[in-house]
Amino acid sequence: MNQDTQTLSPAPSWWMRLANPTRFMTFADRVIPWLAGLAAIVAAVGLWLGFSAPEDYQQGATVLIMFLHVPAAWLAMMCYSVMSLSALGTLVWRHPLADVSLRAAAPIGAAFTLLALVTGSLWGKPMWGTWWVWDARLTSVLVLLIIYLGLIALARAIEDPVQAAKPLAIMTLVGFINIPIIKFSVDWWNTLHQPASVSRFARPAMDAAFLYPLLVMALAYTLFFFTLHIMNMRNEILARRIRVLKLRQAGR
Amino acid sequence: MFGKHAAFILPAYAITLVVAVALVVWIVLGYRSRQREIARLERGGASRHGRKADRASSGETR
Repeated sequence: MNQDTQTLSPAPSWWMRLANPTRFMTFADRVIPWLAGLAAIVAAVGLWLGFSAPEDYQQGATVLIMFLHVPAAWLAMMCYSVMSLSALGTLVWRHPLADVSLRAAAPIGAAFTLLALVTGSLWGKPMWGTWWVWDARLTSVLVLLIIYLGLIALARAIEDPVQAAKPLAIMTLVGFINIPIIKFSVDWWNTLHQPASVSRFARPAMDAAFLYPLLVMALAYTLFFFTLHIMNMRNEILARRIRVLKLRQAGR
Repeated sequence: MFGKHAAFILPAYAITLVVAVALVVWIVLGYRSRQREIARLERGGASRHGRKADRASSGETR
């Protein structure tokens, strides 16, 4: 290789270096304990702040459910957004780990969506007088859970992950239409569910005594999600290695 | 501590804890079983570096 060629070939970015599964496994082994520890510490701080907060003058002690329900709902949508970015990674950039990331995130996203629905129901009964109502926000989150389950089923239905990658990515991007529907459902339709009270950064409609524990819990959920996501990506890479080994053994 | 709403608050925290622990356990057990499976397959002579490596590791020559 001459001097000119060396100058013209840029060093691969860390993003592309992680495309090598073995390198990703090393990265994952290093990062997982730190992320998990940080998630546990932040969750402990969030819970302490939450349980130290005064009772809400209207909701009483049920405001404690908010610290679980709202981050779960945010993460349900964030996880789907991560999957949609991964789908673009598969279809546009052809990043080798994009499909691994998409598959690994789906069951975690489904779990967060289930938590959002169940804790929301447990909060709704004492506050609204009902466990469930078919309003736009609740229904669109239920649709999100069904989309997650559908994508998990599709991923399992096609044996070869390389063949499954493209249809899975396309279906994920089609399902992304539901994310803005969830976000704006409370503005577009009359819903029993209250409109956004945190994302109005100019002046959140929430006292600091509740806002800070909520934001800390949201950070804890986010760290927990990324810990689980990287762990499950590692599992997905191992599953593919097993498949290659079995095919090789069968071909001999 | 939670007054009349304890019947809603405690299950919310319990279910969240159960789902979080279940996710961690499911992923950790999956990781261990896959590692065991790879070790078993590699003991059986399969190598993920291809047939060339398989032949080399088994001492096979053309």
